[in-house]
Amino acid sequence: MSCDATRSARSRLAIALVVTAGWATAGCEGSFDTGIAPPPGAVTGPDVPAPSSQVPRLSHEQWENTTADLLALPAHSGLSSAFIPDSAHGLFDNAGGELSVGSALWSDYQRAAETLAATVTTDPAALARIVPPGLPTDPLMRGRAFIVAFGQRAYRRPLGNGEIDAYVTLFQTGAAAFPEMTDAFAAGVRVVLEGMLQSPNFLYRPELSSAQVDGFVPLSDYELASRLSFGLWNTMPDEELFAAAAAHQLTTDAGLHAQVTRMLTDPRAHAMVRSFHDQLLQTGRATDVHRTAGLFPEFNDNVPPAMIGETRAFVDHVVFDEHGSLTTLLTAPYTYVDANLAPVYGLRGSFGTDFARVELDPTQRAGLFTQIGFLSVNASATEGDPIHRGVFLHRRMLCTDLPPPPMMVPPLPADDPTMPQTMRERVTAHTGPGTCGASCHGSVINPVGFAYEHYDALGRWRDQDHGMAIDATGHYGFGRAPTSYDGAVEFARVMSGQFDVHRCYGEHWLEYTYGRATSSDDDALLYRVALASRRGELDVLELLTELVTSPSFTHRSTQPYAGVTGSP
Amino acid sequence: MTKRKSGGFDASSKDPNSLARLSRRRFLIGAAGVTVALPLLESLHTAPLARANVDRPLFAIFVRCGNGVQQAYDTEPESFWPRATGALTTSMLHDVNADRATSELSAFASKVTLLRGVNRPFGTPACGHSESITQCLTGAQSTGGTSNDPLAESLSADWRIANQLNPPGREPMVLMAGPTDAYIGANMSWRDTHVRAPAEHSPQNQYMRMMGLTTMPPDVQRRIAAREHSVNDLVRGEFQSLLGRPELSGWDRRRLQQHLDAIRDVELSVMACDLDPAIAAQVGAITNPEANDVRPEVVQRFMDLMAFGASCGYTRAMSLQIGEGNDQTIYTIGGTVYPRFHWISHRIYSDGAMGEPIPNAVELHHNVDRLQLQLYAYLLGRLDSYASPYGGTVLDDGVTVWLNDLGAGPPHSGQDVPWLLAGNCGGRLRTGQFLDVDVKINQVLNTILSAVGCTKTDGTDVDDFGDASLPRGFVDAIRV
Repeated sequence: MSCDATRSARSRLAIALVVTAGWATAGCEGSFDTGIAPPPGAVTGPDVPAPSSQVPRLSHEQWENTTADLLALPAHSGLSSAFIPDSAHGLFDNAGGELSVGSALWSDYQRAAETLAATVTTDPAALARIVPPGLPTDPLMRGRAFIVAFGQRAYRRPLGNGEIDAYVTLFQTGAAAFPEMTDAFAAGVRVVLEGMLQSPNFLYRPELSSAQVDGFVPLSDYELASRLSFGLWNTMPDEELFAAAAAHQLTTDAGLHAQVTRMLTDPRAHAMVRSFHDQLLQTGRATDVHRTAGLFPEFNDNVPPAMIGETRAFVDHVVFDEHGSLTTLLTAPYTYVDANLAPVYGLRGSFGTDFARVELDPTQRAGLFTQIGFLSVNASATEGDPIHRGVFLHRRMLCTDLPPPPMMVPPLPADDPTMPQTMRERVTAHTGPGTCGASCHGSVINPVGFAYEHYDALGRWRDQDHGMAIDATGHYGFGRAPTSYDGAVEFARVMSGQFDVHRCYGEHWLEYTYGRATSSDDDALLYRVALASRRGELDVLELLTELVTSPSFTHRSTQPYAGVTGSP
Repeated sequence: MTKRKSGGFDASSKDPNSLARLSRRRFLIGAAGVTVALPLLESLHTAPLARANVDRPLFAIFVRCGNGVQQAYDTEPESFWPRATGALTTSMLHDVNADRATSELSAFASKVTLLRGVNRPFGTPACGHSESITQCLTGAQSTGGTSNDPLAESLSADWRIANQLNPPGREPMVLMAGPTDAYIGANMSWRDTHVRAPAEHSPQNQYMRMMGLTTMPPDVQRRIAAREHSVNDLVRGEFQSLLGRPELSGWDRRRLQQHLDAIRDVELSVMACDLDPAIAAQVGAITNPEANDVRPEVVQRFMDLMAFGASCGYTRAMSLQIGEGNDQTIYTIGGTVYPRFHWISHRIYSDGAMGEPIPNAVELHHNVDRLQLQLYAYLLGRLDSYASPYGGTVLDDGVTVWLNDLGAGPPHSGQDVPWLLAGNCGGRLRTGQFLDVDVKINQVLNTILSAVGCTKTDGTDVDDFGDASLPRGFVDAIRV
């Protein structure tokens, strides 16, 4: 099963299921209530900001990006790779309100701050990149001017006089702290950098505005700039965004939209979209795929990383080149391959190390979930795995709140060579209607997973299973009248027409760009974007624009944030 | 399966002064895996826990494995426990019970206690693995629900110990040999109710965190201390300013306070011990600590660091989780690549309900048990290699626990979860026994907490750890 337990408030399929551990009662009990899923009645009302942390912490990825931008480093330092990993909270790594700092991470931050400060200030060229031109020559005035200018970028807002004075005092200790440094200004900057990089105003994104308008708190210009940059770029604002904040342009619809439009064309947006889909689709799991050459001659050690590259190239093209929507991601009859992947798809021709777009047989392939990565990750070493394929899609694309699997159930009986069965037949016999697994699998998991029966353990197309014809038909209701399909291509089309699927995708995006779990306060916004996405009125970039220009994003709730568990 | 070399460990050497001193110059792994030297010293060794106190500073180490052990269940044979309860001797384990996994501990027969009949306190309404991990060091209920990431309703024993017995700001060492991205990737340590403690996955990172930088002259140490103190003061002031904002929620305030509490000034009384450079080199050699193939090596290096930490008084509480919740490690034993351990425990090539049977799964499970206990024995050997300033070895300066959060493999039940203890904890625990008990985990934890010196607010032994509904008390048979 995949690691995707989410405490999302949204479950499109409410499941009342009792699972009792233990051998005697290891099977699934209870029933799925598919009758209450979703509207399609409109959820109307204004966009409302949900309670959120006022001090979300930077994720490790955001710390890495931000330090590189702040210090104008030629490349990421890589120092965050030595940080103690954060505990998981939801699907994504950037749930800032859940991220905390203990002594281990504090010492990691300290070590990294001291390393970066030394790196920048002991290299005149590196120092020159962060010192604004035209600073006064008087040493103390020069130090103060640096603190004012650099501090605004580090804190992502102008510093108060008290803060400036405190850093000037610290700056003056630089020469004594680093007597080996001949440049007293550089020594002062070094200790200032050490301080700023350990400051809560750098490591967190304080949102302290408190004036209310109509019961909500509009974010300040700089608070909103940070929300935008970390939401769309996973890093700090750039100079243009800072300038827009300083000019109060973000508080106007036109100014806000102009910045969002600009930001979504930036390379940092590409990186953000990649990071989102990497985490949503768990593309990294492809590195665990191993296949024997005997059964899968197309497999070699370069195939797993190529699987990741394929999905990344495909997503980037669909989102940024095609301006495609979720529907495109689910149904596009093309992909990107290199020389390693082309044979798996049965493609002939010349392929190199770069990924190239190829048109696929539209009767066999459609979008993300007929790609090699998804299909082979959700497979055993020898056979496709309809259960895990179904579970993954339910959890990640349908936002089904599936319970964990039972702890143990009797194993599937060994294959009887005199009476061969297809995988579907065996799974059905074991978990289908009339078995103990019927409630979990028979009507929910299996119908989705069986749509992918034409793909083997490496994602190759197949027409037969154990010498028998493939049956990839099914019907699934998505909470309403069941829709029939035959195979993954038709199922992709069915998914792309489902409100629930679009809502689920939008919900994931909201969670990622807002850096928090969703709540019922988000219903109206999610309904609106899901409906428009399903109708083809919103591509992915437009969906993102809708989310980050909503009052839900530009305002803060006055309700206290209590963490995802509502802890006191 | 042959026993692994102990990586520079010389069991005959019990003189800490014989440890070669290692340059404390630290290294960081930079971008693209390039190892870069830090430009200058950046911090110092932390101070050791008080050694000259009248009270002997005792520690607890918890090592957790998953998926249950190959003990008797239904028609499956007993391959874990010795044949008979009672006193443990080397020959009794090594010869009479050579076919049992616990025979791997024969070299430490007089120093271990095997507890059979320990039970998980509560059922597992959601995912049995994640619920068991949640309960194994807390004895607490969880938020449950349908997720595989339930939250504990209490802190865990390692944090209970650190909070009371460590100097302020010194946290327990929380380690995990396994992947961060997994179906049940979270670890077993809870710093507070609903707040899981992050675990370090890299021995190199942990080593860097433990070690200060340098053997710099005292005047340089003072200069660094002064600088970091100045920086810390400024940062503390900013935290205080934030915490002064009345509109912050209790949750946010708690997070900021935790960060503020973690800020430490350099202590000039430098820890006076270094890790064997041969082991330090092995620690630094692991560059992909989450990879499957290096899992036993990662476990050993973490054990090196735990033993080192215990010998130097780094912290009074440490925990190491081996594998994710449903340990999916593909072990290689005796040159044979095994199926995923979780599949072995299910007896099928699958994590769940269906799959081809693994024909010799019982034997494989037993062999994995042996490997795990060989690793445990490695840790005991490391602890036993350091001389204690109180006489004997560091192994008896604390209690070192090996546990599995499930009982037998196939049922994945919470009954008869194995708890193995080693070290007499300064003479406060009896050792050299194999006992049949009927207790819940919280009672074992009560026993351990009290043995290392934790007390309730009234100064009496801790007899009420875990959920309030659970029976209080101890495992009396092992208390002195």
